Amino acid sequence: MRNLKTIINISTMKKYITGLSLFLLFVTVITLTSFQQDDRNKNQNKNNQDKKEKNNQGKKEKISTKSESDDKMDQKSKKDKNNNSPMDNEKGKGHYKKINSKDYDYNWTIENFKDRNKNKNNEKVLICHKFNSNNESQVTIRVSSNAIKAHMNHGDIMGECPPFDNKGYSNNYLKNRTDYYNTIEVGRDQMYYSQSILDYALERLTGSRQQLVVMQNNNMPVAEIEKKQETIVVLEKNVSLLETLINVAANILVDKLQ
Amino acid sequence: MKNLKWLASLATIVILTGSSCTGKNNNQTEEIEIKTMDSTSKSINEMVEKLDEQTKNVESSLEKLDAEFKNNN
Repeated sequence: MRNLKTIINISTMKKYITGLSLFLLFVTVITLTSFQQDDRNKNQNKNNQDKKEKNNQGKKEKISTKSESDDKMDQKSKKDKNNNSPMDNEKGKGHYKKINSKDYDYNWTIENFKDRNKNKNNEKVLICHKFNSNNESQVTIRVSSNAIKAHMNHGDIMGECPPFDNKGYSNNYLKNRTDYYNTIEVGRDQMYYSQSILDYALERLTGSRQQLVVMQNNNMPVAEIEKKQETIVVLEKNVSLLETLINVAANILVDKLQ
Repeated sequence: MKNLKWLASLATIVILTGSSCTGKNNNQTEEIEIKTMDSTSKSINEMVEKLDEQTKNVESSLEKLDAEFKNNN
């Protein structure tokens, strides 16, 4: 009888132990999974916060550069008071002020503009671009030599990336990310080049309008003056459209790589 | 002994299911990011084309302006 009781007790104990260990196992697995989820959420929140901070910084910088360029524009508009045209009004709106002219090395004159294709900066270098909130991961991308400084400020390194553990990203993902950054770089190059041409065109427009006034005062034939005026109007229209496009491009590209 | 075997196999199943779930989540996040990057790249490429075309228009207008004001520069 005693033996039977002992056997029953042992089997009950075994059941209890099994049940308890199963319960513990489930609790451990669930806790581990929730911890992982928490980490991921924390990282995501951190990323979002970093992005927000960067956006705010970018906005502040934009505002400060805006006020600087506003001052310049004010000075310019005072100079151009006598030459009223639709472009002056457009300049006053300052659609393209987001791009700082110091970001590109182009300085066009009548002489070098003729050879602009030779003078266009096509030099590309490889850099190791870091991404993620803490610059934990990296990919090798091709950037214009003008853009090196901005990348160095962001913590990137010259040359190809050394072998590195990219925090569990798949090769397909890293390839897509590399292509994405290269596309952004091409877009940024084009935007800066277009901006430099726009700046030069605005300068030339101001000069040409002044010349036209002098010609009118010197009693130049009306037909000739009208012909010259027509070229100015065409350039004004094209400049206005380019200005709008640059504004759109800046909205897409500014802060994309940072 | 039987219980132990049963327990071990159950634990393995639970662990494998858990890890495959987290792997799935990572893949899904990557896929979403890849799609976002693709659509942004497309809009950038379209924008670059338009910018290039309009920049060329401005350049050709500038050349005409240069020709028109040639003697006065």
